[in-house]
Amino acid sequence: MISLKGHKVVDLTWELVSRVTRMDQTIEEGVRDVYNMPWIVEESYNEKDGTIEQLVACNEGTFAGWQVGGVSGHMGSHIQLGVRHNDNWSGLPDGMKGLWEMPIDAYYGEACVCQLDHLKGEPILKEHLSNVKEGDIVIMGSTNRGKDVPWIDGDTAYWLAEEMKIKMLCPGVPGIGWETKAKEPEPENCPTHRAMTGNNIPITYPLVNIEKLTKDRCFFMSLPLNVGRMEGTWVRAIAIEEE
Amino acid sequence: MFSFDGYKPVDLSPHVEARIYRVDGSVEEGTNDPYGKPWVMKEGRFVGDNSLYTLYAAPPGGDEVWHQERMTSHHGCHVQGGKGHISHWAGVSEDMKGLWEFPLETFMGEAAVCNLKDLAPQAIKNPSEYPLGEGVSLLSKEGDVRGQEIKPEHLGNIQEGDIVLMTSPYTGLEQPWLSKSTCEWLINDRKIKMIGFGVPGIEWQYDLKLAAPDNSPIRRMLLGANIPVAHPLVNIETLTKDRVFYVGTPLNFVKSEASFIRAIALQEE
Repeated sequence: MISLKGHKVVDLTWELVSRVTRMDQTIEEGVRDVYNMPWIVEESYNEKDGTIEQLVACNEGTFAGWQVGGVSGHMGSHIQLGVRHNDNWSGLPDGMKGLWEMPIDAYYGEACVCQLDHLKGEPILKEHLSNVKEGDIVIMGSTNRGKDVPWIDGDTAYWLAEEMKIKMLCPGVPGIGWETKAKEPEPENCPTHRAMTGNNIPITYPLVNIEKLTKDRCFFMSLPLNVGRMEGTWVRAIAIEEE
Repeated sequence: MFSFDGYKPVDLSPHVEARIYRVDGSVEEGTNDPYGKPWVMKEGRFVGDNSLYTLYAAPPGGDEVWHQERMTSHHGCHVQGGKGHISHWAGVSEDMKGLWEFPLETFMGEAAVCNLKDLAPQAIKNPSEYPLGEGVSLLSKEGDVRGQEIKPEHLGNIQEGDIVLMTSPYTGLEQPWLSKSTCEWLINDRKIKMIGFGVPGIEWQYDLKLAAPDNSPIRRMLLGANIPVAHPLVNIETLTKDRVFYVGTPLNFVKSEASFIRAIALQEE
C-alpha cells in the first residue's frame, strides 16, 4: 500500500486569505495572490439544515475591488490547458485538449526540481535544465525578484515540450518569468503558453515554496476539479519528497 | 521516491459539466451534481493576452438553472470542516478547526472501503429503526421499507486512523443510515481521520430541524471531532479492493468553510 511514512508533504500552493462578508455584515479583508487575484466569499444561511455555506465571489458591480463579480478558475495556484483558453489564437495545432479530457494520471508523477537562483535576469536555456528527464513534470523556481527574475526562453519552452516531452510545467511565481511576448502579434505571441498547451502539457502556476524542496526529484500532484469546460481550475499543488 | 506506480486511479468526484454563457452570446447547457446543484459560468476575454477564461457565476439575478448570481463552495465534490460552517451552533466544540487549519496529510492516506451493499432495506417494526419519514412525516411507521442502521459489525475493515469511504447501492429512504452510536464508535474507537460519503448511498443528514444541541447529530459529531467530511462521492462501488489510498485535498483558501476538491482513490492493480 502507498504510504506517506518517511516522506514529507510540501505545500506548493499560494495561500489566499478569503475576503469574507460575515452574517452580521462585517467584512474581513483578504490577502490576494501574486497576480492580485482575490478569493471572495459571503456567508449565507442554509435554511435546510441551519449551516453556514459561503457564497463564492460577489455580485457584479457590488465591490469596487472586484467589479466583475465572479471569480475565475485562475485565482491562486491553478492549472490550465488549451481548449477554451487559448485555442482562439491562430497557429495552434489541431488536437488540443481541455483539462477535463485528460486522464487523471496526467496530473501527478515524478518531477524534477529546477532551482535557478544562479540565473539573474537572463533567459533559462536548456543547458540550465540538465536534470530534466524525458516525461518529467518540471518544477521551476528561483528566489530572484524583479529584474533579476530569469525567464523561460521560447526555444527552451519548445525543447521542453517537444524534445523532452515533459508531462507538466510548474513555475514558481514570482521567481520565474514563464510567459513572454504577450502582446506580440499572433502566432509569435506567448511562446511558452503555445508550446505547452499546443502539446497538451498542463501548466500549474503560480507556485510557492519551491526553494523549500531539498531533493532534486520529488513526487508532484495538482488535480483539476472534475468540471467539464473549465479551461483552468484551482488546485492544491503539493510535492512529496523523502525525509 | 514516493510513487503511485502499480496503482490505478479511480475518480471519486462526480463529473459536472459547466453551463456556460459564451462571449458570442451562446449558452452551453450543463449538468448537475448528485444533489442537483449546477455549475454556471460566464466566459470572458483577458485583454492582457487575448486568452479566454470563465467566471464561476450565473447572470445577475440568476437563470433557469440557478436562482441567483452566486453559487457556493458546496457545489460538486467538496470537503467541509466545522469552523465557519457549524461553529454558530449551540453546543459545538470550541476547538473545532477550519479546513485551512488541518495538516494536508488529513486529506490523504490509507482508506477503508465500505460498500454496504449487503444492508438491504427492510420493513421496519418501529419508528426508531429509521431516522426519517416520507413526505411531511417526520418518522417512518411500522411496515415501511427503510434502510438499515449501519453498525460497527458492518465496518470490520476499518482500522484505527483510517480515512473511511462509505457507500451503498440504495437510494432515498432505503439508504443505510449512520447512527449516533456508530458514529461515536468511528470517532472514539476507530479514531478515523476523515470520512467520505457516496451520494446516493448513505443517509447521514437527518434531524436537521431539531433544536440545538440535538440537530444534525452526525455532522455535529464528525466536525466537532475534527473529522472532515467529503461528499458527494461517486464510484466507491467500483473499487475492488478493501483498502485504497485516498487523496482529496482542499484548496488553500484561508477562512473557507468548505472547498471544492478532486477526490481520487489509488487502487493496487
